[in-house]
Amino acid sequence: MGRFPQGRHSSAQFDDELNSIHSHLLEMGRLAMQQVQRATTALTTGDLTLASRVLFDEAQVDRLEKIIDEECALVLARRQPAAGDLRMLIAASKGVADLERVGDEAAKLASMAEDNVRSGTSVAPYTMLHQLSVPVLALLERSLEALSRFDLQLAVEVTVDRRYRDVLGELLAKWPKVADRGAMIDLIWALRSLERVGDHARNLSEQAIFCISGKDIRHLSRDQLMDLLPGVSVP
Amino acid sequence: MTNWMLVAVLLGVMAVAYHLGLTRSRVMARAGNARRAAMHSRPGYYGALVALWCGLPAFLVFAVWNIAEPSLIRNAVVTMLSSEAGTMTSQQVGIAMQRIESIASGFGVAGDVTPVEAAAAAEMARLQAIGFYTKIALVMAIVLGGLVFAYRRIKPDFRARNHVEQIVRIAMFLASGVAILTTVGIVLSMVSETLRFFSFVSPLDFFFGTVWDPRFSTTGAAGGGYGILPLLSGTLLVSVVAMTVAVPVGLMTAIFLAEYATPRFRSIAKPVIEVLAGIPTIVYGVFALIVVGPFFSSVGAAIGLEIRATSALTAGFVMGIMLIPFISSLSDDIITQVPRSLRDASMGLGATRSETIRRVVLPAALPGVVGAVLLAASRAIGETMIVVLAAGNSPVLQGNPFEAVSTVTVTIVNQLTGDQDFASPQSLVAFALGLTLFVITLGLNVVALYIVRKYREQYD
Amino acid sequence: MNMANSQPGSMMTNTLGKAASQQMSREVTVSAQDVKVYYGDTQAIKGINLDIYRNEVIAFIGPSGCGKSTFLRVLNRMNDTIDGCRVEGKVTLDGEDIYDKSLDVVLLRARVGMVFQKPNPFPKSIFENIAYGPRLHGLASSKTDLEGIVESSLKRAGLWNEVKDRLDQPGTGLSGGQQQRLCIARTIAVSPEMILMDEPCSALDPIATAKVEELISELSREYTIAIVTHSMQQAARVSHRTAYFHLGDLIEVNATDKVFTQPEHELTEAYITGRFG
Repeated sequence: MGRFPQGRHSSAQFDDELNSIHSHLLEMGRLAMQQVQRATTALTTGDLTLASRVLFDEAQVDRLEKIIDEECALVLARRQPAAGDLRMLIAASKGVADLERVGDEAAKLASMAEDNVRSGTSVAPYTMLHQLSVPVLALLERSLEALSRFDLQLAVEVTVDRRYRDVLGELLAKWPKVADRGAMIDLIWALRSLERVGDHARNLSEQAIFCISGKDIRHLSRDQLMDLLPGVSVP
Repeated sequence: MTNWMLVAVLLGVMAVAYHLGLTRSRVMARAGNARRAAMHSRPGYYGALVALWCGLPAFLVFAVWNIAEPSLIRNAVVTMLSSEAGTMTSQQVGIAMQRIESIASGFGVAGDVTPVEAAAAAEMARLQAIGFYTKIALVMAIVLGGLVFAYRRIKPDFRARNHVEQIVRIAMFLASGVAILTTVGIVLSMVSETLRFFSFVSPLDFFFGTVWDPRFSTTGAAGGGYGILPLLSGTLLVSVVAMTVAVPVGLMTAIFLAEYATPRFRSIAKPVIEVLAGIPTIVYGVFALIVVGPFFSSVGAAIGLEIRATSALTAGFVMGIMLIPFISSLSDDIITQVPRSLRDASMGLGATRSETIRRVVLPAALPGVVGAVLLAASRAIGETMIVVLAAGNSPVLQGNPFEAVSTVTVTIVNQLTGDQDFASPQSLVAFALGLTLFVITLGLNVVALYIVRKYREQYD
Repeated sequence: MNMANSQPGSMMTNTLGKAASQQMSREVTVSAQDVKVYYGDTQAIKGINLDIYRNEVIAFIGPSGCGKSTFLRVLNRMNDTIDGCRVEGKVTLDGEDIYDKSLDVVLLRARVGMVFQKPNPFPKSIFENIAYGPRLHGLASSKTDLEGIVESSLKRAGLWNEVKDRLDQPGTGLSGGQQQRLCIARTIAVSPEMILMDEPCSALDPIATAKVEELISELSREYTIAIVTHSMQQAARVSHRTAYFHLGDLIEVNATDKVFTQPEHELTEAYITGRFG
């Protein structure tokens, strides 16, 4: 397959194992993204079928998490990976945790949608969620793209992208009048969930950067980032 | 002559049998393809098995027949002869039979042929003819029987390969048996002759007697002294001198070649030294007699020592030179076998080359070197030609290497050369001496081989 | 195995703390400048520059035939014993040129000890194996002195408790791992400054390997150690710095932690991740 930039191993089996982890990770990422998308739609449209579909598929996300963790452990035990391979495994097992939480947030949104439909709550206030879900999902997609192509530039761009936070700020500034206190709290929780998904997407990109370059860029300022990664333009 | 033709025919039939087996198995293999797996073995094995079945029993019968036939015919003729010409002594029978055989084969004899002889010769020729045709018939019958038997046994599941393997194994066993049986035979005949000798001379007198003087006697009774000690002392003296020369020189040569010499020098020097081992011992003997002996004698005279030209020293010195390549070559192999890792270890600890050799390489190689020396010693003890020519042949019990001595081997030569009755103690003593020598060298070889083998186990 | 630590009186526990092995001082022990080695007409090493610091464990890794063993043998001039081997360039030990004509090779090898690939104890008793070096160099003035050296060397090699009752038995009768530790003890007995190890565990089973590795980290408190190894995991476990050799070139030298997580050179990465060739 030769998916990795460093080329093939002497052991083709080893290549297969790493490739499998990589593609499982991307599969899990796409699934988690779909979950968020569907949950948001369910919440904004009051679609009960879609919501229960999301809750049902949550098991699939968890299953992939287990598979990837198991594969990582096996490769560690069998191959004593080093350098790029080792970083890829570490990134994968950390990234899996982020994606799993993304899946959890989606499930939260979906069960909120179910409750709303059952209690007959109006979906009107929730439509504003769309405004936040668009940049968040875009961020998650780009993050997966960076991970898939080992694209350092793209990964850096994702980590510094905080536009979804601005959107959240705008939304909170023009906060609608919601009579029902419970519904208001739910709405805040839903926004909060989407914001978390955006944070996880950025974490995922940080793992991608570690995997590609070996640099740990967590908790760094923009200037420190530019020092650490010469040759990468930081927007 | 006709026998050779029969052998040729046999070989021809075997070749044909081979092809028959080959073809049949191939045909069968092709036919068998349709149903299940083809033949168990490659076609060649079936061919070989048919050929062997065809040839081997026939050859055996042929050989037995050829061995038995002459004596059977002879017995028949002798019986007929004695019934017609009255009783004869065994000597007369022998002479008569020789004449009859000559007549029968058509050679003709001196003097007139008596009717009795003519009749006997005719009878012999008749028997020989019958024997010959019977033999051909029998052999051919066996050949055909074997051929048919083996040919019919060719089946897909017949394991020809395993059978051939077994036959080859038996053949190899028999071959090794030849060497072993010969050795056993030699030892047994020596033992029996030695026992006969001990019926004339008591073993006590032989092994512990200090006088060697086997006087000639026609009566068959033992005369003079048959003590082996003077001979053993001579042997020992010559061997000691030889080893004194060969061991230091050979060992140092070996160390030099193995440790110091450049590969180029080694590649030239080693074969040159080994040429020494290829020189016939008689040449050494002549060299000792003509060059070394007089040289020692004159050197001795110059420094006031009386050295005989033919002495233990001369023989031992030349023998030592002969043994140098023996010791150096064996020791060289053993020293080079000491693993490089041991040398590296020693050098890595800051030892010099000579320290390494002295403290590590030689101690490690010592058992092997000792083995080599013992093997050389057993050769020295058994060596004959040099001593015959250069030791002076004086079987007296004394320990001066400058005097002439005699050795066991020389004495054996002396006792068996000349006109001797092989039943007399003078001749039989050679067997006792030979057996003693054999036991000594065998002991040395066993010890040497044991040491060498033990050494080998250490590194492999 | 932790013999040295269980012996309160032994040298290494008190005088040198664990910190010494981790935080290596930057004092250069061996310095190689533009070292080239030729075997006949073939060049085995193509101009290597490398400093080795005091009390560090430096691992030489690389594919077979990359020159790592050859370079190791340059450091105590073991290559001198190979016909047709020629060394160019300059190698200094504590500032002294070891290829200078005035230097005594024999004394150099006492200062830079060597442990080999295959355990190679002499076919002598355990005692004599250790006593060999001290005897050569006259390090012991009396029999008691010699016995002291033997005991302390065996203790430092963590072998004392296993062999103290059979010092008169042949060293070749020990197990492979014990033999290798005997060889290490033998090297320590001449008090070298530096120990070179040429794939010391390649002939050992995993348990024996672990013991030798443990010993290496113990020894690094007192000695400078250069180790050639085919096992990258071993290099990662025992060494402070790792040098990667490739076709006679020194490609990369760096802290081991860095080499095994973020190698600088792509050849190093390819080798340590098993993507070679």
